[in-house]
Amino acid sequence: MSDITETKVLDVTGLLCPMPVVKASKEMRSLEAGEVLKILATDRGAVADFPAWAEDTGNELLTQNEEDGVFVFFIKKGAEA
Amino acid sequence: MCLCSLSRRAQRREFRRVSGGPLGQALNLGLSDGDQVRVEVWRLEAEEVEAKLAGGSVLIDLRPPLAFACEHIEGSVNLQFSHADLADRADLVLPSDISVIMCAGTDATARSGAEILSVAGLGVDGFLGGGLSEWVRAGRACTSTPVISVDDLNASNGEFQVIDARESYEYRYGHISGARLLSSMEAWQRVEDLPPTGRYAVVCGEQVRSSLVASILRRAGRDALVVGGGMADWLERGFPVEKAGY
Repeated sequence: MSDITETKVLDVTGLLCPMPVVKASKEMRSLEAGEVLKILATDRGAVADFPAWAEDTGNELLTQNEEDGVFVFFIKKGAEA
Repeated sequence: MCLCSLSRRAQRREFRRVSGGPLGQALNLGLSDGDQVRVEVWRLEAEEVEAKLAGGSVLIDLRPPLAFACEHIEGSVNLQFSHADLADRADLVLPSDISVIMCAGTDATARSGAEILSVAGLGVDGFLGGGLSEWVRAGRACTSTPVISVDDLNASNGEFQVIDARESYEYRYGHISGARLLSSMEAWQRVEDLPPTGRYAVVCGEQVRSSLVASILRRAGRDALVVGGGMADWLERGFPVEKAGY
């Protein structure tokens, strides 16, 4: 369980690489710095993709876990992102 | 053409209407519920597919990577089917000026793929009726793509040039030493940058993009194989990665 409060939820379950990150990147543009995007994905590749993307773009991966086959990521938008 | 063949052909011609419902919305067509787009889908026999491939059409194999690796039609491109994002991924990795033919595990999936890509604007010639089974039954040959495990790749002592089919941010985060970046989005345009005499082991996060890129390389005459399990397996084994720089 997570006590992080998300600003928006992005459901990319069923999408294959690289679409989860492509969709998340687009969605993140609508957030302000400090706001949190919760992402739901099922592609196993997302487990490695989102930490890499967050580090590369200046966003912060707060936490990631798996719930019933769905990978859940909380990513906070960075000040420079 | 005789009347019976005309009739037979007419029976194989199928029209579907795609409305502003889930499919229209999934394709980001901006359709409202009242709008409809007419999609023409052809069921093709093996000999028709063979003729169209000889004429320059590209066969898109919609099956999962492992099934594709085991057996597929030479020159085909592996783009795994997904209702949710097939059109988006096709738009990212395929040129817009090609004609394509679908091949899948079932005719229903092949027809869906043909409809999705047709509505998305690609030139779709139709789908291979009966898939690979019918292709083989008609006396046509198949080929396969070798798969190498991460253990064998790690022990191969530079026998292969590793091609990383992920995006640049994934490559920078951690890649196999000596790997060359060739993202799935650039593979079609940049395949000729790779020397034709090399031996290439293509890796991605797991296997969806590596199978796609390996199929593009093999189509262009390169000796390419797929790294089974991809970076997920490589990291799970604790094998080393390099960060940044390419």
